[in-house]
Amino acid sequence: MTLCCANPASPNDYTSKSHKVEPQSPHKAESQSPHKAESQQVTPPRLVTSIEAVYPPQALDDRVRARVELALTVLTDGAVGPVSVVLSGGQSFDESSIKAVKQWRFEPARQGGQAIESRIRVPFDFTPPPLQLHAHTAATTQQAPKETALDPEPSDNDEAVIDVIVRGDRDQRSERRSVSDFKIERDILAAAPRQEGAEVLRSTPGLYIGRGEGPAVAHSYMLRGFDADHGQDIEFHVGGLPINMPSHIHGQGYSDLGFLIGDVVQELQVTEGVYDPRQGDFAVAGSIDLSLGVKEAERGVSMRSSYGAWNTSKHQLLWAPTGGSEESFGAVQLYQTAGFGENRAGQSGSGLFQHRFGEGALTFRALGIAHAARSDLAGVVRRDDIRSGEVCFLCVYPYPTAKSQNALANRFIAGLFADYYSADGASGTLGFWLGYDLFRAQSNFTGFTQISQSLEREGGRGDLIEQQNRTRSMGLMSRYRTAPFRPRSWAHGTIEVGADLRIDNVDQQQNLLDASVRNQTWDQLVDASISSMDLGVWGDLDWRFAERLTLRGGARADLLSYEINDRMSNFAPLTRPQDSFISGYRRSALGIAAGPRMSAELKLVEWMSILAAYGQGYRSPQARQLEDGEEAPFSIVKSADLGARFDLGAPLQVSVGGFYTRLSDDIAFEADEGRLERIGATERLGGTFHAVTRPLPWLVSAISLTYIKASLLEPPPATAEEPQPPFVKGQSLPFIPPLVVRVDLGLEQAIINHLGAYPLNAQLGLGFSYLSSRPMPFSVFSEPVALLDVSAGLSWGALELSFELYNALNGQYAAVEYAFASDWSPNDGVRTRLPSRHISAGAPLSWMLSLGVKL
Amino acid sequence: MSPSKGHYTTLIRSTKRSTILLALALLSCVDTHVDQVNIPLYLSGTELSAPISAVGEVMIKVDRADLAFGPLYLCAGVTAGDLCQVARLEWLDSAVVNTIRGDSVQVGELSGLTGVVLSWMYDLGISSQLTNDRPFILKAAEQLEGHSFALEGEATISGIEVPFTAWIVAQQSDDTELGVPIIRKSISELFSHEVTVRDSSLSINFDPKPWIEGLDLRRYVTFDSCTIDGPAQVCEGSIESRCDGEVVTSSRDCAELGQVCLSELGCQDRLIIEEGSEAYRSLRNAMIVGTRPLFTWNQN
Repeated sequence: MTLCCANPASPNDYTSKSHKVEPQSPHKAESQSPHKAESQQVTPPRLVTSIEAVYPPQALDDRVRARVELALTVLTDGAVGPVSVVLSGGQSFDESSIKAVKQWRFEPARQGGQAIESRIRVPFDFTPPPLQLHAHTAATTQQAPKETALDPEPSDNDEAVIDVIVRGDRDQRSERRSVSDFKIERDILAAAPRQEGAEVLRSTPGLYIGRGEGPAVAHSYMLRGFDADHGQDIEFHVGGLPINMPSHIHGQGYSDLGFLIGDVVQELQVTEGVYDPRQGDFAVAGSIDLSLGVKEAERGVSMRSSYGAWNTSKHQLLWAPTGGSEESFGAVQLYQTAGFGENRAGQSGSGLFQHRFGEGALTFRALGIAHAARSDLAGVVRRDDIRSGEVCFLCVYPYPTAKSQNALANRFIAGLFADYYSADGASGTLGFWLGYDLFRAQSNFTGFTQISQSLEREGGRGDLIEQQNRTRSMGLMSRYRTAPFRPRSWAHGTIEVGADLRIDNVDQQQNLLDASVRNQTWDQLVDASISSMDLGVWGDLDWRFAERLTLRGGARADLLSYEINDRMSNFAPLTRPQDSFISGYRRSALGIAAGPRMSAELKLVEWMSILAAYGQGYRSPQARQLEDGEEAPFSIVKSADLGARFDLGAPLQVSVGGFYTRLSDDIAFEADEGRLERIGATERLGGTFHAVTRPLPWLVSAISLTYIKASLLEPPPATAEEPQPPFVKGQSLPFIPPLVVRVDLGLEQAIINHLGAYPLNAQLGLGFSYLSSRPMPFSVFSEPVALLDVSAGLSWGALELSFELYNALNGQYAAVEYAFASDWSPNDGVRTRLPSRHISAGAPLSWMLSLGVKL
Repeated sequence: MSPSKGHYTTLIRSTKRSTILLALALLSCVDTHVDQVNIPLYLSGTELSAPISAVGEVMIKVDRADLAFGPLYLCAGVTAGDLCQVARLEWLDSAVVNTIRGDSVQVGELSGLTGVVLSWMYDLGISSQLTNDRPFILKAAEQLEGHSFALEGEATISGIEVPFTAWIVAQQSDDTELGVPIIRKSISELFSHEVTVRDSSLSINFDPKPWIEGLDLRRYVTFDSCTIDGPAQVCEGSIESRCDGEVVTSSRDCAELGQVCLSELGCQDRLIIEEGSEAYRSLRNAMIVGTRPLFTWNQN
């Protein structure tokens, strides 16, 4: 949206008009996203330093006049970011304009005092020099940059011609709630190479993701002391659409982010802990919102094909018309690989579409995501078998039950959101979404240990567990934040209220298959249907006092209801013919989870704040475990954060803090069932250091270290079925790495300013993830994981070429690791019943070469 | 400039070394309360000072009582079997124990984790697994020609000395639990021990006397004569007679041949207790569900 316009520039001898960007008084500004509070009023960028564009020597002979209009991004440090040509005056004029404007410096735009990126449009008018000058000489004499101290008052004679578009936060959280709130921006996400879109999550402090079960099964996530498995402890949203699936057969809160295409992920809004009333189910370790879009500088139609190790290929098409909303795009990606070891071939395809439309106070956003993937799975292998040479690290056991492991995932989710922003600062969102998900997996973790309950004296046919899950979902989301209320000159604030609703219908089965007899079903373990509803409501107050102290507080309550048709319950084995009845157990349950969320921020000096936060959240139960009439036993999480944030602008931003989290009822992976089971109350105590630095326009880096001590407080007592619980009181929580480190580093610079018609730019990227040794059940420890990914690329005009190395140190590591009892030696006599370490191998050193074209 | 291969290798080693040191430093803060242990396993029998008095005042002098033992699992639950999918300690090997010798012999090590054990289960050299229709004959049973127990001796029945042999096979049947060891502690038996790193050994002592005491060999020695409806061959002590009704057609004294006269068998070098016989079942049942071995934990 146009903020202001000034008079056209007058021609200036042989150089173009040097355009000045004048400061705008806040009341004149009308941002694209009107302010939610007075404190968030937008101040446009102000030009500090400029140099003039030079009339191109090669155009002197023609002596033409030309006009070029550029759209440029003013970064938060005042430097000029991506530049695109809105109106071309010809290639040489365009280049001259871009070259000049790249050297400009601004005072960045601000929103609520915070420096933000802004987008401005700058026209250049080129007039040929007078004939009496030696044109060539004059044209090639570059003027040195000069400091331009601008008059703070607009001048009628010298007022700039600019369009300023300030991108404000739309429906993201207005401010950070705690020191563990992180906004991971696009430049960090794009710095390091990523094998797949979901790996952008690795830049989240304290988070590690592993791909232990191939491209058709969700990643394994660990965040800040939580083994979130496939998403049970992290609330994921992509473009506002909820990703977690309740009561999924493969894991509570199952979140498959395999559909993500990295180039359209603009930002991660990470809230570690539970301090925002908008955080709902599964926000136990925290929440991650991924916003989608394509920035103006990267817009256009682009195609990229990649080929790499293990016969891996990836093809991507991105359509983002220039001049459109940054939120509008369409992207498609196809991927296939032969896999880095046995039984790892896979294919997948994803399509993402988003469009922002409408004008004025009410705009709309439509978003659709479609994804399909199928892959073979190598499953797990025992470490002692690797040591003895029974099976190699990247291999699979040579039995049909192991070689028949595979997975299939189909997902479609679409939503329509209406966003309202009034001139007085009030805002609201109303959204509706629909989802469909199909998951099917055949996996064998334990080898040959199972005995059929359905068939008499049948056992040892291979523990190939078949899991099927079909979820149909729909939901509504709404929120409204009032215009700022200022009862005193030194105090002002807003109130937000909101409600979320989701309804899920789930059908799920779990069986044992005999792979050697065309997947003959030899035992039936789960056959259930679940209908559930989650209605969440919240209120949130945001008050500021004397611009130093900000208090935010609110509460959230969720009502969850379940109807379960468990067709296998009360099953009577054939060995008990006297128990003659029809199996099945239909039941219902309902529960309410409510808790406070509060935070405080004290700004000691302009660049330093102290933040404290406390909140209570929840995770919904796995519905099939509920008894009739049971008040749904939510896992309640209580978390607290305390820390400091230092914001020295672009050169350095640092967050340092400690946290404590207690979870009333945790769950962990159970190999016999291939799913999550309860393990009791747990706690985490730890700290996080996170720093982002952009010391130079061409360099960005981020580093995070998270240390956690996670303990089991109240393990479930031994039972007849579980006489030897794998967990004991006080033990370190299994699967939780005490230390997680992440480093992202990106460099981008023109190495040849003129190579033909375009500059030649080079990019270097580095990503390093470290995961310390993790305690496992039964007193064993996993190996640490250290992964280094590096990339190098060149771009010239419309062409891009890059080469990426993943796991550059070629470390042999486990993507996931477990400890449990198994029998993978069916013909070797007596089976061991001791728990043993099992790993699913991570990818070794691999490479990928990409060639892209952008039009 | 790209690093040389040597430089690259050094970099990798350096990184790995740093990683390990860092991991060790961090793990020093971790308390898991569970330790891995290897505990020597000793097997012994019980010296027999005198012949055993079996059923019917039959005196049995045992010359050989070799038992194939193993594998052994110790479990955390009060019942073993299918409820012991995960064991606390295990010994997967097998060994022959001379059950009438009192000296202990180390046969291997139990490996596993510390913690309470409340039950046990074991096989006698023949182990059935879920994945095979036929049981595995372990090396100890192989030494006993595919049997679990080799009992040899001399029984004095009604004054007649009868050398005998009982070679017992103890293995799963359709009546036993699928895929688990055949001998398991029952829920009513007392067995409890907290395995710690101080445990220096586990001794298991077998006493075959109670098993043998239940043997009833009386039917093998009879004092029958020919009758109208009787069998064609009878034993009257050591005299074997062939009958035609009440008429004795021939007879011989087995003792003169250095043999014994066994009912329905006639003169035999020794009594071989066959599978399916009452004595066989009696002995096998005594081994499986009868008197248990004695488990003794020794500590440093």
